Amino acid sequence: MDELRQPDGTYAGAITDEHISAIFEGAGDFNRRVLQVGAHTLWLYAIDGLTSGGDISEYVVKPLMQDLGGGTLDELYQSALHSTVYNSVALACESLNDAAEKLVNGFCVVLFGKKAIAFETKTGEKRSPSAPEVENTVKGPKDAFTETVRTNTSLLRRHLRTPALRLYETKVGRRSLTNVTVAYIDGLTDPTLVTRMKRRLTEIDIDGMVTPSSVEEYVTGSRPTAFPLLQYTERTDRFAQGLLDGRVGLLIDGLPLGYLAPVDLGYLMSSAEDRGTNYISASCLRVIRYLALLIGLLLPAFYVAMAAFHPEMLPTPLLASIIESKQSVPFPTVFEVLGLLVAFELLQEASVSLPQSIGQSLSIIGGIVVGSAAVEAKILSPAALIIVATAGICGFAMPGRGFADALRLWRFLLAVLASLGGLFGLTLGALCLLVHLAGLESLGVPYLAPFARVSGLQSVLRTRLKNQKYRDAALNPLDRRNQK
Amino acid sequence: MKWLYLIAAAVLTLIFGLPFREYETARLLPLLTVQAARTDGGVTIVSEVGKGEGATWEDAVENLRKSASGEVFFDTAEQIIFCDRSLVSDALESDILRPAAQVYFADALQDSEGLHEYLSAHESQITVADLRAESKGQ
Repeated sequence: MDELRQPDGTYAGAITDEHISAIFEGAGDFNRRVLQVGAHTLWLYAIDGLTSGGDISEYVVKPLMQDLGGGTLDELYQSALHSTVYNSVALACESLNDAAEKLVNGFCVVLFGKKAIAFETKTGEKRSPSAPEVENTVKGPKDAFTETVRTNTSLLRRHLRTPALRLYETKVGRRSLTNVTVAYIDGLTDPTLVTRMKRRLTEIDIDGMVTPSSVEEYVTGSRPTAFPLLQYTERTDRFAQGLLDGRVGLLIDGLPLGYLAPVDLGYLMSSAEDRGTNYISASCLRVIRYLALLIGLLLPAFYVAMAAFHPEMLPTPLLASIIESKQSVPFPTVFEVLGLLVAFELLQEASVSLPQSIGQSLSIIGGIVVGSAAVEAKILSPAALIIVATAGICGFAMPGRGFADALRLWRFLLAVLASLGGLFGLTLGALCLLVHLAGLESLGVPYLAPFARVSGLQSVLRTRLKNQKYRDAALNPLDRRNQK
Repeated sequence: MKWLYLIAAAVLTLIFGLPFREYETARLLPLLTVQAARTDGGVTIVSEVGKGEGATWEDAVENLRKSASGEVFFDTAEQIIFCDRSLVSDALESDILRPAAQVYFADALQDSEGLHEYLSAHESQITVADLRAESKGQ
């Protein structure tokens, strides 16, 4: 077996029964059957669970046994490939590696001497599309992506009936051989974006691409940033809208979500529901979301700076309230806020790791019971608790979890800087964040692109659809106009 | 490596190089109304958080700080009553009063009970900033 396996993880050698059997030696789900067709001996291979036994019997074995008795082995091969076997997909295997790959992708392989044909007999056992779990919708479609890439492409086709929808398929991962599909609309999406995405996929040389972070880090080049450089969505309508905007999509077999690139701050701050509600309501919600962004990011740091370094800048009644709330609390404001931020993160992390029912109980116990008890016991001041909780709630208002996680990290960093240098430290940190964001690019599109123009404010609002006549210029679409 | 040096320099600057300090918020005693009078013993300063006496303005402030149960915070003082005009220059020199604080002149120390509310209802036209500008103009 070792002599068959190449350094790059592929298999080389003649297509023979010995070689195929050697590749799958020890695999309990590997099925091998010898078929005697007239005077010829054929071998049939399939992976149990990936293939449908009924389909193999009915559409592969039966026609082979019934109709292909005479002639030479080569005639038998040609006939099976082109005429008699009425399976919808029959592909000639070009190499041993090709045959092995077909087997792990739900094909059954029939060996005719030293040639082989792969018949598609994928099992119908897969998760059906269900309602999105994270990106909930009131009025939008309820068909979220599943773990099967082919199901996802079919869902996408139902949203985008255009024949110009291109689904470029490739495999990534030496051992996982993950099917990856690049989706874009021909004649609309900037070809440079498509080429960049394809090139990045080609350059990936890893064992397996089975986790979301492996996709995100390898596709984006693993930039030293906490901010997401790919946008993910589990909603097919949002993915389709992204393609219509001129973006490139990425579907990974095994992941129940689709990725969209390029991404900028405007896309990350827009919710899937924005296009599902009235434009005035959606605009108001977007403004609130941007306010939540600022509050969630800056409030704890601002509180630390004002309470610990610049109390003279607070209105006296407010300062008096803060002082009163801190009476008998043994910790300085800085430790109080930083400690609460850490506790908040721990609570969040614990909730994620637990089943939903227990997670809710934990949130109640952690947030309300422990929080209230800590305030009553005068371990924490109510003001600090309110500040950190408000910032946390504002963080939850962010549409994407990846972006919200980056904000959580920067919220903590800014609080640390504010605890070192008050408003000066906070300003320094905010400037660093701004410089950092300004330096980020996703597939060549600047992260702050929406705010680089005078019309950047429009990104904050959701304008009327009839006024959105042009696609985002930052994406450089081939067809800029999207309506009359 | 260059980044480490930069970060270290920034942190050190933040900790030691800034012209302001960290307060222990819970110990702050914010003042609202301050009265200053010249007495036989020197200068007397009266506020909601206590009384300070000394030969000079600085001594009286120091005495007030020491006798208070926490950290006397002058930056919140909204009203200053001078019972002797000669104390104004000392107070301005000490630079502990905030510019927006309103300045009143009186003949004698007043009863602190309800004084802040009364002065809030009767705003003065003179602020510490005005007096400072006036003294610089001279």
